Amino acid sequence: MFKIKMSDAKLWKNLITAIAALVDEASFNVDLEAIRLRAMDPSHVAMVDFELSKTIFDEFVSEESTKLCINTSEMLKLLRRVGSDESIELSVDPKTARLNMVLRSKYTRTFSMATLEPSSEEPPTPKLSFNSRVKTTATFMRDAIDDAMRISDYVKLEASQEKFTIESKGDLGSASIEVEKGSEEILNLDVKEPSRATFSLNFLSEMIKAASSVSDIVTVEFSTNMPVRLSLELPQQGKFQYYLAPYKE
Amino acid sequence: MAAQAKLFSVMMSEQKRNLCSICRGHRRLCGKGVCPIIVKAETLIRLEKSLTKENIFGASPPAIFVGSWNYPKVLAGPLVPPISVDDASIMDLPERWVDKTFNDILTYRLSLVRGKSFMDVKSAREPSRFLSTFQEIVMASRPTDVEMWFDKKPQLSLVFSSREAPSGPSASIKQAVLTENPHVPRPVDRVVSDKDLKAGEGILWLYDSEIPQQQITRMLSIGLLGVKKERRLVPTEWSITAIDDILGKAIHREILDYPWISDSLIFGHKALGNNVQILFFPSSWMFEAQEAWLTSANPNPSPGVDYEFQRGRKSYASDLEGAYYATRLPALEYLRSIRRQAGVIVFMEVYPEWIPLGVWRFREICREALRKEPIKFKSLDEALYGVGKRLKLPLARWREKSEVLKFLKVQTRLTTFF
Repeated sequence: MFKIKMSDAKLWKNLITAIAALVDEASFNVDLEAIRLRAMDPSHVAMVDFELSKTIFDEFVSEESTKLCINTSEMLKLLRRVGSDESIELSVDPKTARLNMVLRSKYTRTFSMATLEPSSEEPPTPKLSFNSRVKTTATFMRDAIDDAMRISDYVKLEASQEKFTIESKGDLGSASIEVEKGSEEILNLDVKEPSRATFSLNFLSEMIKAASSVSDIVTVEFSTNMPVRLSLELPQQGKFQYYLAPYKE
Repeated sequence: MAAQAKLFSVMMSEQKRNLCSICRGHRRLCGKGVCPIIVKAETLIRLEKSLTKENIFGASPPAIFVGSWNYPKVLAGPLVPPISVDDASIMDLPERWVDKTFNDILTYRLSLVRGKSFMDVKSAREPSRFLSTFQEIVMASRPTDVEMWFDKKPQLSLVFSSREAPSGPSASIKQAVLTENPHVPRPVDRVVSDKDLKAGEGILWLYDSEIPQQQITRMLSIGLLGVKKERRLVPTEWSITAIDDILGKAIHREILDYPWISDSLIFGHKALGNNVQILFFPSSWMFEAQEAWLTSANPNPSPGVDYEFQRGRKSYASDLEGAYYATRLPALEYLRSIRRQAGVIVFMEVYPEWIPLGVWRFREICREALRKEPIKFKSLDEALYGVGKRLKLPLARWREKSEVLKFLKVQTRLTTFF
């Protein structure tokens, strides 16, 4: 038995959209303290690591550890018309195993949807230490990735003490987007060791697109030829991170 | 919906690869000593002479043609053989053509006289008497006797298309009547009479009810599917690929839940101057189709390629077009039948003897290949080597164009970093 209530239904919708960028079936773990999800995309190239602690919710009733598995695109269909003034309440009917979703504003909308059998095991998080940490605006990342996509289907991230560079090369040409320390777009540039790694734009663009609707700020962390971690800023005690495995050099 | 329908229109590049559709037997661009089209056309001129009257009577397979020329005011009409045949249904059933000869298929197709009538695609919502008759023909699962009257004697103008099979002499229809009651399968009747059922859902329902794909394609084409207020005629060449795509998408969603296959597998079949080799390897779903046209002028071409990863394509497969969707569907059908997912690469070779008779041959050659026992390999590299031995074009030519192989080679997995 569990029931959670959040005043900002739009945030919930954006979070589900961001999860849906990688997984179709989302298997949440709900315990006494928080709701969590850690899942890889089916090709095991990318991961989403998500957690919202009970303090974020207006109401959080959970008597035991349970799993809640839903189809993200089905849920997004129901959330399509969510307005900014709406609150959301989620609960599972233990008898029917259906998820009830109540959206309240000037009127009340109640949806019921099927839950799924929880499938795969939860993966561990990759063991990584990051040599470069770039805190930047989501808009900058989105625009830079958008430029890179016009050239190629992969992109090289490069960080030094002075600047952060996004580069792509294709058959037709190349693009290089540079932002220097001290620019308005860079909130923090912390580089222990110059780093560079190459990533699939297929994944990265989906992630950045979803990220920019959740958060204005994105922290990009990576080391040479190692996975990148993108952390979004959530209100209070929340965590939303993406991991993406690099191309081989 | 209009944009959606046009999504599957044939672009110049697809048309160009089908040499005969440009040359049409005039210039012998293919370099073949004898142009099969001219030979066949000559026999047809004889058939044309037998068409002395301005009316014909025969059993429509059933078959229909909706042109794309002049869209949205298109030419539509039924195909009827003016001669008596034992089983007319084979004349419009590519599902049964894969073991036939060029001569057989050309004979089926060119004996079909095509009635033409200008129609607005939106008239499917309030069908005229003509269109109602055409629709009745298409609802039938068996050949149906039809009588047609023309404004003049049907004339032959050979048109070859990359997508649909050709047809014989044509003329404008003055009148068309069914001379028997068509036999309509129950699922067809149900989908057609449901005025609120979306086209996509109707197509899946028909497919699951084992209505042949060709009949579903005809139904979409003649405006029998979809919410009544939105129904429209869909040019035959577009509807062929639209059906391949819609059915493929539905199966794609289903197989994503299945476990990976454990060995690499090769299936292959050669027919009608085409060689198709299908490689399955252990992976989450990804699909790539490569197509090479080997001509005497260029025996070592660079293949065309389109591909998708786990979640499918969002844009039209603009390099391979119809061939992409026609081969993806059988690959997905196979995976569904074994309840597994896999990575798939389809290698298609088209040899100079091929005459452009339609995209169905890729679909049906694939299905034929997948009915056979596969050859198993322990690794993807061994399997690729195996595929290479079954193709004329050297493996390196395919490899250098493969985005899926490139992805497998360069992309690391997160699991390496746990």
